[in-house]
Amino acid sequence: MSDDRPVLRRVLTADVMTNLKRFTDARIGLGQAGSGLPTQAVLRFSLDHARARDAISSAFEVSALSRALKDGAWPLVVESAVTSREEYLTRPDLGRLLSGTSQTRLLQSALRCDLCLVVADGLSALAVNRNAVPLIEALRPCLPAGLTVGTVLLRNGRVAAGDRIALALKAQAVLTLIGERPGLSAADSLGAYVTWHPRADTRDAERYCVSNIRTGGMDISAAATLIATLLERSRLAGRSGVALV
Amino acid sequence: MSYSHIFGTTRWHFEDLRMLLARAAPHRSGDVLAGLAARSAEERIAAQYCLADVPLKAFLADALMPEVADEVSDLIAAQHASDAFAPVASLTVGAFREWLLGADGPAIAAVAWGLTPDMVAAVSKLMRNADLISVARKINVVRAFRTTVGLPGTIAARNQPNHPTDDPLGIAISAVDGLIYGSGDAVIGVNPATDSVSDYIRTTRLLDELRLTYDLPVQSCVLGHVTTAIEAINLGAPVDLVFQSIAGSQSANAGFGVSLSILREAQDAARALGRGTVGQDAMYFETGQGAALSSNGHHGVDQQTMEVRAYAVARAFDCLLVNTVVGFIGPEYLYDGKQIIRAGLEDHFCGKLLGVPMGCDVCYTNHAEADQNDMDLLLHSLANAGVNFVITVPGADDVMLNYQSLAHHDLAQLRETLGLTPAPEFAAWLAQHDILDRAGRVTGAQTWLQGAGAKLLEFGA
Repeated sequence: MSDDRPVLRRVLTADVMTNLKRFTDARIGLGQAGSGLPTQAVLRFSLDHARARDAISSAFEVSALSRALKDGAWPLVVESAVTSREEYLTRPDLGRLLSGTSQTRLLQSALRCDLCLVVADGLSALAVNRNAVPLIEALRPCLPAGLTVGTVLLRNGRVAAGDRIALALKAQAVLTLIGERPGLSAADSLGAYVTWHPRADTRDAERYCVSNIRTGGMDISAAATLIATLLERSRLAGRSGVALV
Repeated sequence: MSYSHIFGTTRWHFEDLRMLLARAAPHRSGDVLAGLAARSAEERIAAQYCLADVPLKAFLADALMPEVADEVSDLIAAQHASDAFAPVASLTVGAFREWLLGADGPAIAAVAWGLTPDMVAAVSKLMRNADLISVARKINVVRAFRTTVGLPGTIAARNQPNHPTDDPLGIAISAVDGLIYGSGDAVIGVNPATDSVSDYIRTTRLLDELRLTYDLPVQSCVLGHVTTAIEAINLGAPVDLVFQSIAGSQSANAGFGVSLSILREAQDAARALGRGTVGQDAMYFETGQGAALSSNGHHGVDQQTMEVRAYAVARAFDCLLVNTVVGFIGPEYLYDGKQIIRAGLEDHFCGKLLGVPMGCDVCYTNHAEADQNDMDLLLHSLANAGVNFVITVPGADDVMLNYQSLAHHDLAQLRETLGLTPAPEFAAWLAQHDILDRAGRVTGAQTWLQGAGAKLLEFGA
């Protein structure tokens, strides 16, 4: 009987490759089953992909964030011109605009600030839910004493929607904290964009960007220091981002 | 000229050829974003009926974007060879589809320089996925440098050992991980983390040392900007292939920081090095639907037609490799697995029909409605279509660009399933080192790794 059983063509990873795994995060040395992937490798990939997918559809915890960031009448809560998560993914143009209601509410608001701090769900609300409050708490002591800061929560927003919020509130600068596109290795990376004197047509090159803010990536305190430095540099130069020739 | 089609009492009107092509395109998010897509399913089919009756000659008479001065349009006009066009000159788009289904490979290859990108895009819009596969399979576009890529019965791969910080040891380890699954015969190609000339030269030297250390019959490429490559060549770097992303209009190419003259300069520089052994096809281009729209250089042309115009640019050069990076651009251009699979098959078919040595990065991002199952279908469909090469990374996870491509295993499994072999020069090397057994199956390379692994750590020094 046993002579008739097919030979199991299962090749374990050579020790050489196993020993090299510590030098790279790439999925090397996975071994093989036949010529395909071993079961554990398939499951590990599926898990990482599942977490990234879940992060994209994760809920933006507006009430919890509002409580944690409460500062007088701030934070305001607004939404982009996007009406669903699917539309957010397919219509970046609408994600850069504010809804009519939000635009009106901001224009009619008597609130004013020097720096507008926009917290947007972006492609990973998980990243914002997890990292935005600690980052803002770490950032506040690094900001100049006289600077007034107004916080705004933005649903289904892209980075450029922050410019429109700042314009409506007549702020000098905008710092947008936004969930980055989840990767397989991390689904909770936060991005921070500093824009000085934002306009309705600010180009991407006219912003400073700090990315991969998360535990295991750029840590919160380092990110806070860097963002404060970029804000100060922008104030001195009167602009942010790459200089135009 | 305007076009129209009548269903019963409804008259569907299309203001020009550009709009007709856009409305006839299978649904995809990028055309919706651009405001060009058919506004109903019936309008799409009306446009397809209408397009089927348009003579191929109309594409010569009626420029797609006449209001725009564009060097790609000029190139397309200059490329058209009326003698090559003769066998299909009297056909409509619909009849051309049937001609392609019935013709043999040599007959199709013979009309390549008679066809314009617009004609090719048009006929693809009337073809089902199976048509795109069966016609492309008849066309062989074979190119060579140190390997011969595109021979019938073979499929090659770009081994893509990217590393987030271009760490030399990280790149070398990843490359070796691909070699033991038979990946690297198209190229060992790294997307650099920076665009500095010194980093470009450092990684180019690393890949060349890797080749010399293991006596690999393959070519390497650092996918920096073409001007960086020219500078590196001038500084004596051992550059095999020169890479550039290209698109289908002058302004979209300007968005990539290139023009036709810069590309010619790069080709001259690479050719002068004469580093190929079995051929001197030294250019490598990447393309992808949506690239022109993303830089606002689409001029009201749908994204698939714009993509085919990029192949007119590619075929003006001696390319070893051209691939569409089909799912990389994101769901605002190709929303889900269905759209990515369709686009991958269209791009491969259209490239081959124009005589381009077409490969595909079978890939997607995490915000697209897609997963590895979709990639499996696209890979196996493309292999049936005779794709020249695909791209593979360790475990399908590119840790530098943060997207998913194919695993090296997917390539090995595909070759075993379909009986496809690597490029012959590389296949001989793999057999010589017992990385492939006599049946062409991957062995795990235990023996070769004993020696190769010891040498690997030297790349970290």
